[in-house]
Amino acid sequence: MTGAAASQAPQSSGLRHVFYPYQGQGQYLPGILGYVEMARDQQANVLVCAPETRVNLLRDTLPDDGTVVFLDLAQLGRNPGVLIGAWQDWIVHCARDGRSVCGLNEAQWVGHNGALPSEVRYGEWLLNLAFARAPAWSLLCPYDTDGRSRQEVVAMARCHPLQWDGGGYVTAPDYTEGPYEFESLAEPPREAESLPYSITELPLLRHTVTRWATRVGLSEDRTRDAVVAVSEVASNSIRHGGGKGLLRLWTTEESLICELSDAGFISDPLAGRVRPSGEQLGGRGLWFVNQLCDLVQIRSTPKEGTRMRLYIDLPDT
Amino acid sequence: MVEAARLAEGFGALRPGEHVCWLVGSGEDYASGARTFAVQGRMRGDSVLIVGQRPVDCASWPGGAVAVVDPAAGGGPGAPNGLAPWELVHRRVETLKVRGGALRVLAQMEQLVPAGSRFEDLVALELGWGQWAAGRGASVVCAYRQDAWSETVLRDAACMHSGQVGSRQLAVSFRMTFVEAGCWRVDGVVDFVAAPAFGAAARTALGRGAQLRLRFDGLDMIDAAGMQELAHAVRSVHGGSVRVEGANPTIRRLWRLSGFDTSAAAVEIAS
Repeated sequence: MTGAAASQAPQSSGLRHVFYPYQGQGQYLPGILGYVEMARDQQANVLVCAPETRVNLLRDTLPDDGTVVFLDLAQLGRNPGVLIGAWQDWIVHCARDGRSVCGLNEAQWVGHNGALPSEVRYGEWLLNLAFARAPAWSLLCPYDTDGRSRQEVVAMARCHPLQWDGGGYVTAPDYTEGPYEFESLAEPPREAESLPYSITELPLLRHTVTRWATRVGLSEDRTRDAVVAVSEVASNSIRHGGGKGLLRLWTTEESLICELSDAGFISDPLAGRVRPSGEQLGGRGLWFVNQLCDLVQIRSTPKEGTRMRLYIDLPDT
Repeated sequence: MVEAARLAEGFGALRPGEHVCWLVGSGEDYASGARTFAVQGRMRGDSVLIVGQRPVDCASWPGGAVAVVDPAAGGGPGAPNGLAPWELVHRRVETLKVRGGALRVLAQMEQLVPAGSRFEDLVALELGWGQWAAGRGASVVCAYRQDAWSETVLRDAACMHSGQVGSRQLAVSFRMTFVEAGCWRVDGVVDFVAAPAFGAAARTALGRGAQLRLRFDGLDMIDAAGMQELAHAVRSVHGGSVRVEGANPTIRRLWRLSGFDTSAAAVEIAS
């Protein structure tokens, strides 16, 4: 037990977001089985989002009575910024029979030179906001602490209001309700190309991204994805960010990086994270950006404006 | 001299069915260009029609007479029976008897669209010219006086043409051109700057036939604002539907993600 016991009864609304730190394979399965047993007691469907090795293990272990659904990770892509939208979709598609949902969230995110872990954690933290007013469901996030520093484990624990102790929920002692404390972005390298832009430079901006994408060997499709993503962010700069911005481009061993900065402030932390409805006006640009890129980092304050860093993976990374 | 040479070159290169625009710097430039257009056409054995004011000295132009339809004659453009500009022009042009050879039309746009008209009227006129030119095998040059229109209107109107002639040319983001009845082709880029013009063009095309096909083979990208304009255009026309063909994988994927694919907007993105 690491905190006060929380109610095990199903709550009336919102997400029960549960951190499950375990140490090695020996602890993993017992904790998961306890969670699934609780779900079945609550007449809930279990949705499993996990890598193939885990799925194989769980398929052999969990009951095969139609109440456990293994989700297709292929549609998830590599950007943790799509996680909220993916769970929105999965819940809609898999919980049509009126049963509540108990999710198991073990998506594997890899790559991006160390930029990824902080964005994975932020994505986890945003789940609490995104589903605060949704119908009740719970999501267990297993986290292997083997080989992790205490600092890493606490950083992930901060994103979860509840913790799974193997048999029930407890209040997570390290949870931080907000505001979220971002890790700052390292400055672009000196060799980065800079292009100031306003409305008249949009074609040049797209041309510049195309030139870089071609130079690093991106496919035609991925080049188009990068161009659309940068164009969407630049459009936001022009409409909401003071009418102008600065594009910087560089590459790492893994990614083409396009950073756009402007004087605007994105006040909604869920901007671009939630699937838009067909009826809503606007609000699709950043959603598209998250879907098109392999990682998106946003740092935005009223005082310093917005920096948005878009990563497109290089071929064969 | 440069303008005259470029105009002569541009007029000379016009192909049957082509619909282009010409940004005119002044009244003198128009008079000179209209003469070049007419004389060059007549020398080639084509029929020449000017839709606009009758040039004062056209009777003395070499190569023979040119036909003139002046929409302003008898009360001003659009006035008779409250007809929209394209309907009025179309009615008068269709009843005109032209001589043999290919037909070349010069349209003096500020004489065809009354000052203060809705942009949609201008778009309807341009899509009308585009379809008519293709159907008749005629080549149509739409002359826009730069001092009669805003830069935005000129740029958006240029998007409804397959090209431009003359030395003053605007960078256009996209072009929407006629393919066949109920089908238009969209090329280039529809970003948030071009989205309103694209929306107006889509609405107008839907108004000409509620079941619309759009060929996106040459469309590099359409952003969120452009997709919203397309969805709104379809919803604004009772019974309207659009089938998009030839869209690249990014466009197809983003449309599925936009939320419009499951909404009331009847748009099908063919794979």
